[in-house]
Amino acid sequence: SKLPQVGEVSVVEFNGKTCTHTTVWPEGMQPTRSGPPPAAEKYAKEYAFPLDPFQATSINCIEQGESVMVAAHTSAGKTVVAEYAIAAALRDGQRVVYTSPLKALSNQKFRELNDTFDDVGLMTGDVTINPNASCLVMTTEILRSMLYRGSDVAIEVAWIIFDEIHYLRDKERGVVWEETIILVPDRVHFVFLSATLPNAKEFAGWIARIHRQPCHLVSTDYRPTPLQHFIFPAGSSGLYMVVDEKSKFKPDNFQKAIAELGAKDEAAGDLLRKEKKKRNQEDIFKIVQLIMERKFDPCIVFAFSKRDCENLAMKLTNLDLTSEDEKKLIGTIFANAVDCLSAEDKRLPQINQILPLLKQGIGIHHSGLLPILKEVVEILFQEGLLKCLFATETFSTGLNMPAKTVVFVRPRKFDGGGFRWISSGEYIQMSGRAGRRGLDDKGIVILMLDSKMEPAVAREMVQGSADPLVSAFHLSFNMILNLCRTESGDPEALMRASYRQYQTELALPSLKRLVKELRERSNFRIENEKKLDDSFAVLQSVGQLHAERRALLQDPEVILPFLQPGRLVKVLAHDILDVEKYLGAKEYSLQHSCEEDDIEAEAKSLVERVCCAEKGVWGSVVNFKKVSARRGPKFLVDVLVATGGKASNFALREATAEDATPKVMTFDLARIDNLSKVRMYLPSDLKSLHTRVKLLTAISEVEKRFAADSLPLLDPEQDMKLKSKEYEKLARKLADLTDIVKAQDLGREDLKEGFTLLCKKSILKSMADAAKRESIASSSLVGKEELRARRRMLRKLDYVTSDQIVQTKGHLAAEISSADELVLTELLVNGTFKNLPYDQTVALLSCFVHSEKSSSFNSKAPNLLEEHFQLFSKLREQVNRIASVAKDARLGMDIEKYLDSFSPQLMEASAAWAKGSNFANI
Amino acid sequence: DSSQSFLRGHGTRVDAQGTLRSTVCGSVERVNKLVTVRPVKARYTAEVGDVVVGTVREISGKRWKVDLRSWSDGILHLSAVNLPGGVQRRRTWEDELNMRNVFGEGDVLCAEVQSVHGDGTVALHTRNAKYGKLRGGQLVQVPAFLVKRQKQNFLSLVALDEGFSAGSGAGGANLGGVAVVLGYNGTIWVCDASTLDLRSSSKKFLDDTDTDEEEEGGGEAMETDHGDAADNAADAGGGGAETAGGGRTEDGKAHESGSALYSICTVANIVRALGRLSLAITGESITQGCRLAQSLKVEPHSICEDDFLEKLVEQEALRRLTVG
Repeated sequence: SKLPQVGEVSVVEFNGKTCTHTTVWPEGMQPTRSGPPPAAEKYAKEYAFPLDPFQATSINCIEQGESVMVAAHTSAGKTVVAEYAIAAALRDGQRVVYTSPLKALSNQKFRELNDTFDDVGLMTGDVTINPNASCLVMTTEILRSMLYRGSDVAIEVAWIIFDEIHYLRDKERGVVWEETIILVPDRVHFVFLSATLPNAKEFAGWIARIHRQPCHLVSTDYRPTPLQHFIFPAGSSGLYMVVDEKSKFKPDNFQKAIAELGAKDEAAGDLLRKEKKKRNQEDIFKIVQLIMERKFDPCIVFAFSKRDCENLAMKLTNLDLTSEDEKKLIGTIFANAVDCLSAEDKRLPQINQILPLLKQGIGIHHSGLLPILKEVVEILFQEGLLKCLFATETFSTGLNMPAKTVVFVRPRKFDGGGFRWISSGEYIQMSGRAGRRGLDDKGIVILMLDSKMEPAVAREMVQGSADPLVSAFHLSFNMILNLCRTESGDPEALMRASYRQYQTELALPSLKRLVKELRERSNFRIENEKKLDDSFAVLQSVGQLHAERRALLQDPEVILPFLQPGRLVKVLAHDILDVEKYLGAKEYSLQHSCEEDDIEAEAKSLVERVCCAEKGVWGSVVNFKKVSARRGPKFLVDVLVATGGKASNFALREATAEDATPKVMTFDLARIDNLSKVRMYLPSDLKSLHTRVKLLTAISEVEKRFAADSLPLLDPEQDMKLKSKEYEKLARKLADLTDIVKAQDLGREDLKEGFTLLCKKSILKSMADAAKRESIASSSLVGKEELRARRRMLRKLDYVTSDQIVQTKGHLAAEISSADELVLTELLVNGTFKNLPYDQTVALLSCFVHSEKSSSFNSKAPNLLEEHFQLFSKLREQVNRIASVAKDARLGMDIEKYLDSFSPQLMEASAAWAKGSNFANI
Repeated sequence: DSSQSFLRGHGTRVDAQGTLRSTVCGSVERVNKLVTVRPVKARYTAEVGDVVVGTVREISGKRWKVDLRSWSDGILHLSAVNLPGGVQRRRTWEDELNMRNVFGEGDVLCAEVQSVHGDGTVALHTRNAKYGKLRGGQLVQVPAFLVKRQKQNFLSLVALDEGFSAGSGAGGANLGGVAVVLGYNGTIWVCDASTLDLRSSSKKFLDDTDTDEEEEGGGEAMETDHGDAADNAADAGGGGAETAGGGRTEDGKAHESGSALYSICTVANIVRALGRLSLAITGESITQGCRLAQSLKVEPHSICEDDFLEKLVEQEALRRLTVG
C-alpha cells in the first residue's frame, strides 16, 4: 500500500533560533501548500514575550485547523503550544481534551490551566472536577474508556492534546495511547508534545494515514539553558568537563578522566564490593560539597534504586545546607502537610526519619515514599528549600521540576536481567532536568564513573540521539471485548490501524533489501567446500559428545566424592554456555550485526570454540559448595588456577605460562571437564600469595612431568563407578571420532581459514533466512495469530459466542480495565465476593494490584490467616484454570510469570488497613 | 442451601426458606454461579451498546424523548448527537432552538444505548454517521425477544438476493435494494438501501466494516406466539405505510419508483410474518422468507395470510430438521 507523503523540510529561523517544519500528507491527498503555514491575521491568544520559531510555527498550524506534532526538549516551552490550542478551541466554542501520562501531571496541569482559563475540568481515576467544562484535563485511560463507551466529550471535542507522547513506547501502558489515538474520530485534530525523537516523521505519517488528515511536524533542538556535561571519576577530587555548552565533545578531558579512574583502580587493586560502595558514598559527599561551594545548587541526584537513594542521603546527615530561616520554613510546611494525618500516623518511622533530613535541605523522592511525603518533598523542592534531592528515575518523567545540576550516581542501571549502560534516551530525559529556564544560564550534568568506559560508549551516551518512538502495541482481552461489544467494532481493524503495523510495513522494503543483500553476500565459492563441511561437522560432533560426556560425569552423586581438596581438575577455558551455544550454532537472528567485520569475527570465534572446545587448564580443587538456585540446587567449585592479564580482566592461563598469577576462582560444576588421578597437597591457608605461587609451581611441575595430554585421568567407569550403558556407548563413539580427527589432523591451523569461510557463509545464510521469515511475517497482519488464540480463549471461557457476540461475562470483563479482567470476572460470577466482609474483599483485591516479584506462588504465603489463605486458594484455582485454558488455546503465555503476578503478600496488611488499623501497626 | 451456591440474578428471588425462585416465566440462564431468568415475553430492557429504533415523542430541555417500547422513554441528549455537517463543537442555544431540524416529533431514528441509569432511564447516543434519522421506509414492530443479539444490525440485502432478480418477472422488483435496521427493542426499519448507504458513506473507524457484509444469525425461535405486528400488516400493501417524513428530495425519488416500494413491502411483510410466527428475525431468516415468497410468487399483500404463514412454518421446520 502507498505511504503518506512527507512534504519538504523547511527551516524557520528568527531571533537567532531555528526549528524545522514538515507536513506529512495522507496518501491520496493533494498537498494544498508547501512550506510552513502562513501567519494568521488574528490569534486566539497573544503572548507578552516573543515566541520562538517552533512555537510560532506550531501555532500557525493550529490556526489552520490541522494536527501538529511538536518535538522539543522539556524546558523549551512546549506548554505555549498546548495553551494556544486550548485558547483556540475555546474561542471557537469547541471542546478540548488535554491528556497526560501521569495522574500527578494531570493535577499539576489542571492547576496551571485553571489559572489561565475559565472553563477547565479534571478527570482522573481519583477525582472529577467540573466534568462539563470545555477544557478537560484527563488521563489517557479515561479518554480511552470514553471513546469506547461514547460520550458527549467524544462528540464535541475538536482538539486533543497528548502530552509526553513518547510514553507510547511504555511496555505496559503505551498501548493505551495507541488505542486512544486510533479510536478518536477523524474530525478531531491533535497536538502531540514530545521530547526530541529521531523518528518523529514516522509517527506523523501514522497519524496522517489513520486519520486521513495532514499532520505537521515541528521540531527543534533548541535548549533555553545549554548543558555542560562533567565526569567525576570515582575516588577523584575534581570534575572533567567532557561536553561544553555548545555541545562539543572534549576527548582530551575524557581521556584524562578515564586515566585517573584507571590509576585509582590500579592503586586500589581489587577492592571488595563493600569498599567500592563505601567509596561511592564518600564521593557523593564530596560532590555535594563541591556543588554547594560552586553554587551549583539545587541539584538532583539520580540513583537507580530506592535503597541507594536512601543510603546516599543518609550519608549526608552531617552536612547542613540550609539557613536557620529556611529550617523554620521547612518545619512549618512539613507540619502543615502532615497535619491532616492522625496522631498515630504522625509517629510513623518514615515521617519521623525524613524531617531532620529535610531540615538540612536534603530530600528523597522515590515510589516507596508515602504519597503525602512525596508531595511535601515536591513542594519543598519547588520552593527551592531543598538543595539536594535524591531521586529515582521516575522523578525525571514526572512533574516538571528542574534543578541547576543533575548528578548520576553511576552510569549503569539494573535492568531486569543485569546491569547495562544508561541509554542515551534515558540520559537525555534525566539530564533534561538540569537548568532552570530563566534562572540559570547553563545547566550542569555530572556523571560519576566507577568503572572504565570506552570513549565511544560514553560519547554515544552523552551525545547520542533520543530513543526512537517504537510501538509497544499488544492485545488485551479488555480491548478485544470492548471492540466486539460495539456494533461492527472489529479488533482486526484496530490492529491494522496500529502504529506497530505501520512501523512494520515501513520496515518491510528495507527488510526485503536485507534479505537480498544477505543472500548475495552468502553466495560465494569455497574450495573443497564439501570436504571442509564434513570435517567441521566431525569437530562439532566431537564437541557435542564431550558435552554429553560431561553431563554424565557431572552427576553430583558421581563427581562430588572425588572433588577432594587438592584434586587436579581440568577447567574449560571458555564459559560453558558459550561452548554449548557455539557447538549448536546454526541459527542467527537479525539481532546480530550484519556488518562484514562483525560476521567475520563471529565466524572466527565460532571456529575457535569448536576447534578448541576441549581446551582447558589444570587447577587444584580447593573446595566446593552447594547453593540453591531457581532451578534446583547448583554446585560451585573453588579451584586454584593460573590467571593472567590485568586485574580487571581475568583470563585463564596454562599453569606453565610465564605471566601466570595464581588465584582461587569459583566455577560452576558444569565447567569441570575432567578429573585427574593426581591430588596435590593443599596448604591450609591460601591467603598469602607465597603459598599460592608455590602450589601453582607444583601444578606446573606435574604438568611438565607428564607430557601433554597424558596426565592420568580418573576413569569414570572404573575409578568413579559411573555405571551407565550410555556412557559406554558415548566413550566408544568419542574414541572413534577422536581417531578420525587425529588421522586427518583436523586441528591443523591451515584448515581454520577454510572453516572460517564456511562459518561465515552459514551465518549469512541463516541470517538471510531469518530476515526472510521476518519479512513474510510482517507482510501480513502483525499479531493475527495471537488475536485468534485470544478469541479462542474467550470462546472457551464463554465470554463470547462463536459468532463473536459478547456474553454476560464478556460485558463484565469489558468494564474491568485496571486489573486482570478474566480472573476478576471469574471470581465475581463464582460468587467469591458474595457476603464477603469488606476487609477480606480488600485483601483479595490486593492480590491483583500487588505484583512485586515473590518466589512463593506455590508455597504457602507468609503467615496468611486461614480465611485469607482460603480466599487466595480460590484465586489461585481460577488463575490456574485460566492459565490452562490459555495453554489449550495455544496462547503463548508465560504461565509461571502469570501465576507470579498474583501475590498474597499484601493481603494481611490491606485487610488490617480496611479494619482501620493505623499505618504504624501495619 | 441454594442461596449459598448461587448468585441471585435478574428475575429471581430467594424465599424465606433460602431457596432460589424465579419471579418471571422464562428461560433460566446460568453463567457459572450467576442465575438469571429471562422472561419469555416482556417489554424491552435496554443494555449498553444495543442498537435501537424508536420514534421521537417529545422535545424538551436539550433532549429528545424517544419511544423505545421499553419501560421508560429513551433520552437522547443534544450533545450526544452529531450535528449536521459533523462539526465538533459545544452546543449553543442556537443548536437548542434548531433541535427540531435534526429530529422532529414523530421522526423515526436509530441510536445506540449509551448507558442505563439506576432508575431505568435509558440514555441514547448517535455516535457515528450510521445512526440518526431513518427515512424512506416502513416501521415494523415485533416482540423484542425475537431480535437476537447479533454482530450486525444494519443489513443490506444486496448480497443475499441473487435469486430475486431472476424472479422479478413475477411482477416483483429487485429486492436487492432493500436495507433493514434491526432494533433490539423489537422495532425494525425496512427501507431503500440507498438511503441508508448514503448516510454511512462518511467512514469512521468504528464503522469500518461496511453494511453490505453477509450476515449470519443463529436462527432460533421461541415457542410462544404473539405479535402486535398484525395491525401494521393490514396497510402494508398500500405502500410506504409509516413513511418517516424527511423533506429531502432523494426520499421522494425513492418513493416514485414502484419497484422499490414493492421490494420494501415484501421485506416488511416477511418481517411481520416472522413476528406473528414468533420466529427469530435475522438477516438469514428474512432472506429465506423472501426467497420463499419469490418462489411461490406470493404478492406482498398476501404474505401475512395464513396460506403463506403455513408455508413459512414448513420451511422453518425443514431447516431445523436439517440443522438438527
